[in-house]
Amino acid sequence: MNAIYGTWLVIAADLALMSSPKLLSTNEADFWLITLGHALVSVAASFFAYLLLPRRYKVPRLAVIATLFCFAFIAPVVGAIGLLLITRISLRPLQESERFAVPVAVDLPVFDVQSKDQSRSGQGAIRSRLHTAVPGATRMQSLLTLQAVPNRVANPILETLLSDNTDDVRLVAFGMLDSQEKKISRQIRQELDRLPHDLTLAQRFDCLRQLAQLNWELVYSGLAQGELRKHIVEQSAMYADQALELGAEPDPGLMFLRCRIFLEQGDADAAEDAIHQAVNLGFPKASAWMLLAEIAFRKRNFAAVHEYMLQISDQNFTSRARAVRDYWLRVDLESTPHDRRFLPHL
Amino acid sequence: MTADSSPTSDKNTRTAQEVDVLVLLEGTFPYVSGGVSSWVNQIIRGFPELKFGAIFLGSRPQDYGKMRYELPDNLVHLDVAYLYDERSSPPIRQVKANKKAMALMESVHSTLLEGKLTPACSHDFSCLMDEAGPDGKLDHDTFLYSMESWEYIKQCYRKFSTDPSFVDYFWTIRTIHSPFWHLREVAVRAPKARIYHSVSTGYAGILGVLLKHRNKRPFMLSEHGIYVKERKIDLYQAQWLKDNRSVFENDPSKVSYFRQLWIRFFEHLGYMTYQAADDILALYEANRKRQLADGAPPERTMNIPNGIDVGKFAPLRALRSKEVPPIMCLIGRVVPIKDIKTYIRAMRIVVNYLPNAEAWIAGPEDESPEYAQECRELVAQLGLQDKVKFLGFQKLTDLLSKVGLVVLSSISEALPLVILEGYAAGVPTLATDVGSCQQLVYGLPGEDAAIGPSGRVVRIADPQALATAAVELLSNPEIWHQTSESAIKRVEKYYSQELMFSTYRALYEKNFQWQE
Repeated sequence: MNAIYGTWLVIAADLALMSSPKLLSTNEADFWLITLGHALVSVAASFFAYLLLPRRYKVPRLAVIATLFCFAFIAPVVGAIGLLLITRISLRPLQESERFAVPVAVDLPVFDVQSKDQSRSGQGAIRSRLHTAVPGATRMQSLLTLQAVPNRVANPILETLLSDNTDDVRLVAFGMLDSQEKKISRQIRQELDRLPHDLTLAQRFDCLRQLAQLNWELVYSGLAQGELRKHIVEQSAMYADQALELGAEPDPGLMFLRCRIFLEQGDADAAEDAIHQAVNLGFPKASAWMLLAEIAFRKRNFAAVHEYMLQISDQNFTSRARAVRDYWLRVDLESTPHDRRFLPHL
Repeated sequence: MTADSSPTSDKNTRTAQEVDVLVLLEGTFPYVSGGVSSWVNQIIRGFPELKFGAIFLGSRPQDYGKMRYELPDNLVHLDVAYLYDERSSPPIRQVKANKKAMALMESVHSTLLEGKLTPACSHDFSCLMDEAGPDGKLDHDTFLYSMESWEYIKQCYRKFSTDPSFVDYFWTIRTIHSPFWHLREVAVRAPKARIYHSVSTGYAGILGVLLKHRNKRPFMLSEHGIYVKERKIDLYQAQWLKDNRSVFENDPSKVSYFRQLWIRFFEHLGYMTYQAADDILALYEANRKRQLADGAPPERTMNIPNGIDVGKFAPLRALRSKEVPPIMCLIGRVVPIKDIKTYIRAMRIVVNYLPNAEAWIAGPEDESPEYAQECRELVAQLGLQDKVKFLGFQKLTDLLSKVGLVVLSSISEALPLVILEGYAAGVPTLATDVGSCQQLVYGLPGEDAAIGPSGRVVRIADPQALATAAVELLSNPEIWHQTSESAIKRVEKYYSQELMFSTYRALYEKNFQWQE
């Protein structure tokens, strides 16, 4: 049976009951008969009204049916009609504003102090978290963070940890440095194995250039110290010179490397010649200015340093290089929000 | 002090029903040479009146070669067990787990997993392992093949694992737990002993825990290095451990779950061993403190330094030439932990100052052939072919009179015997700042330090510092003679084997008496 017709039928039944002469009778049996009849009609009304309700209002089932029953039972006829009205209102489609209402999100957990500063991996932050006063587990965690930091930055920190009092820290630092050194040494050995073979001019040049670069990598990433470093720099210079003497092809990159090796060996004049040659061979001038400035500084030609810095005043730099440029151009006197972010100590 | 024994022995296999002291060894004597193995050999030979037994625990048969030591006559029993021998897994069959045993297992696990370690956990674990035999309620098949075990592993994965791979979790759990059933078998077939003596925590230590629980006999632990610490360092750097975290989850400062799991596993083994041991012996104070930090009860700990047969090396002093030979000698296995590369690199610097200097490396190269090859290649790379000599295994009595300096460039040591042997022959030492090297070279505060330095100590992995100190000692005869004299005095006064044997004798006697 259709639920609406059913409800109307129930309303009709209730109306008939309420207009019955027995309603005015003073007989107790009649009273209970009428009450029972009305209760049955109310149950039927609440059942049909429940069927008409949209799904979202049907839960919890018993409570909903009980509420509907109360409506129908307390107000005879009117209650049942009221039920019909309720179902009609609830069946109305959602208003546009209701359907597309912007959900109100829960506030972000700004109060969650646990999540603060957990993932800082700046050099200073790592160094401070490796301090001997810090608990062992945190130190070990910070040490592992160094795996995600460039070698050139991580290695000096690892180097200092080689004399740490805690065995675990010291040995893990050693292991990290050792694995890097092993990787480069393996590549050096591969190239050295290639070298005695009958290679074409281009292959020999490539092999020697690789050897120069790999030896330089040991120096650049801080894997060699003291006199050993000097020895490796000499090796790098030797291979670079041998490659350049082959004259297979002009290689601005190799000439740039030669410049850096000269600078490391303290020969600023030769370094200057090499960087000019590199630029003449096509090495980007923008990348050469900083090195030229360093050469000028080594030669104590401070006016030239200032000149070179002016050439790169509008370039973007890492925080450390920018601090140097700003110093020479005197812009560090006016700190900008950008500076404050990177160099709060300046 | 001697127990009845009826050994049936050939050259390598020895079995006995009963021994006085059963030594529990993991990856050392008699199949691996090195400081700990030499010490075990020395101790067994040092007590000829006692019958010793030994249980060697290894990973897989193919990882070990022939025996490196001639077995002492008083070693009447030798059992060799491989914990990761794949052939030993039982055949697959359907099994139903016992509910009570599973509940006991869960209870022991929850104590360990939730980090609520208590002294009782060692006993609880042993009780659990009582059920791990073929006739018990928690045999190996139950762990490997029962549905209940599978469900429990799944439940733990959901509850604890932060690594997304269940497959890797499942196999890690299997690999971690399987050795326990092998260890129990070894404990069951072990001969009767009056004392169980382990030289490390880890698997050998746990075997000691099980043996003590089964037979109610004293259990001694003599640690040279600290096993848990060494395992942790290996694990922090291990490449074989899986990390399946995605790029968004991968925080390099957070140790991956499987790495954590393995580290925690060895920490627990260490803790349980310390709780069960009656005497916990370290070689020096820093190691004893480390044992305390890892859960050793302070009242059971004690330091007993290594000692050597000084008389064996003393005659070498007279054979030495008056001039200080510009020869450095590194005595040890050619393995990464000795950091022989730093020694070779230092030699590159030394020859700049002492062109006649030579660097010798006296030790076997077969334990890590790949590393030995890398060292040889480094020698070639640095152009030191005529300066660095690989001598292989050498008799120290033939060698020490010819060298000017014993060098130890290791990244980790405990109390190296080669330093003491060099001292006895009057050779000063140049060592890295590891283990007890500071104590051996500069002495403990007081009378020992007053003797004066018997060499130099530099930080690890620092070729420059190593070379500078080597040049100082080899090129200045006055300093060399001073350090040589201090070396002889120090070893004679503090590091003779008589001193070490007398302390161990007292401990053995105490433990024997305790049973009578």
